[in-house]
Amino acid sequence: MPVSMFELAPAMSAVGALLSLDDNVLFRGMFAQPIACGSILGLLFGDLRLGATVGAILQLLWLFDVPAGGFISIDYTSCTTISLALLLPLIQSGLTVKESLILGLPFFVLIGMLGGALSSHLTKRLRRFNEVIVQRAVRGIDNGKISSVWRNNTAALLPMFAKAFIVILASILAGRFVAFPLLRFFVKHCDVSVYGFWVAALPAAGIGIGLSALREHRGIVFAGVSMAAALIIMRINVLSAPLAAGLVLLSCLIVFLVWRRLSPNER
Amino acid sequence: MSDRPEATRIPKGIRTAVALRTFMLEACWNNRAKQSLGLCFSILPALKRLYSGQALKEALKRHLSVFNTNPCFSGFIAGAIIQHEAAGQTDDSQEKSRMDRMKSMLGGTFGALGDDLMWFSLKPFLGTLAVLLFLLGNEWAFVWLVGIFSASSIVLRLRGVELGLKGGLAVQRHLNRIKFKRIAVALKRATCVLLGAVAGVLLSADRWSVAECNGLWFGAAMTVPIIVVCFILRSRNVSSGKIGAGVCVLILIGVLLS
Repeated sequence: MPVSMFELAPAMSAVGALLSLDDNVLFRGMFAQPIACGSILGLLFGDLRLGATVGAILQLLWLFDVPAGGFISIDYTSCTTISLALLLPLIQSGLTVKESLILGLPFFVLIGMLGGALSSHLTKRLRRFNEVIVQRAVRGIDNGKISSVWRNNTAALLPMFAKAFIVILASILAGRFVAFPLLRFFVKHCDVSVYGFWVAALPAAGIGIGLSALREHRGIVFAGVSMAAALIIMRINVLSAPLAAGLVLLSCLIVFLVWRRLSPNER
Repeated sequence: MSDRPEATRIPKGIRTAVALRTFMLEACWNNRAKQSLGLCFSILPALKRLYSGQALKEALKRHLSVFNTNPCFSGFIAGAIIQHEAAGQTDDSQEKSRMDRMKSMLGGTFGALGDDLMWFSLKPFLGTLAVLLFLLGNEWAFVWLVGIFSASSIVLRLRGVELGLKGGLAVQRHLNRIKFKRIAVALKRATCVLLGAVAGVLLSADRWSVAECNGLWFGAAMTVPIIVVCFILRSRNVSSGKIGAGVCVLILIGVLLS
């Protein structure tokens, strides 16, 4: 049964906001990473494959962006949640998954990035507000209330959750009213089924970003070798899917070991 | 002072509570004192056992000074601080300032080590592995990312508290930093190899429609330049977000023009 946007948006926003806490305030178990966030949302809202697809596409883009210390990157959890929350009703409206990914995803990722940037900006503000919370905790300790330590530390989570929830919800609703009419125009005028390669453009960008961020001497050479190996294995039609997957992973291991062998003392 | 229990005799329950509480180290991260309130929250069960009344208040306030480190490695520092407190070495002001210096030094050391190992090596490796496994047909690939990272984080925190209690402020001597560095280098190289494999699978997999709709060479001719351009842009310090937004606009223009 199709779910209306007004039912879906608050529920997805709440789960997305909860997952986004994992990124810079709580646990840090990688639940906020796009592929995990997308898969969990997909699982909860009925389409694991679509959720994982969106997550995998976005994961590579933000592979090296970690909110470590004072650094705050675009809130990729919000971006993933917004993109997925907008894609689900688009597919329900009659478009195929492929068409939705080619047409909808770039739109929704852009909207998600705007939402993510706003979320990051608000995080900076909230971190300033946290100074007030620390002072409140100090006053509590002075007054002999030791419980003010855990109370204030836990209370700081609430504004973070509320911030992420509001930003995601507002972005989903704004995206719904801005992007959908534009998408209808696109669907009318473009035959998207023959332009499948565009789906690969975002992960390709992520691969380029990742290889650059790694700054590994000879990294490109060995990445090229493993790419060729994977390409050859995947193009052999007689191999079953699990066997091909196993061979790709084995080829990666061999390339890695050869690299290690060639430069054992490199630091 | 002499009736205090020794650090190593802090019950296992409290040691575990301290390790688990470090998961909330960054809950109140702020620009001035960074993770200080989170650190107080983490070591509170141990401090409650060591002190009471006014002494407990003073101990808590002592640890509200600036503190910042990698959260996965925070167990080591929490353990070291508890050991130092339990040994009763914080009474005179000279000792207090020594402890502040050591805390800052340990925070820096473990922060640098943890950021390199966990954020810039393990996380990209597991992320790429999850993407590759997903492209190869495993829809539950995210479990690898979350499972392995969370497990290593939990182990590091639990073991960190134990080693910190043993080693005190000299806890870093227990670490084989060269080994950690080697692991980080190996993970980065493995990530390079996996990223290459992701590119190969992406070009050949029907699911992504690259090979199916447009032919392999056409797909490669469109995809490989994007990889190269994004590599160059990132090398010139253009942020991932800006590159991603640029590619999204490019896709929309491409689809419209075609």
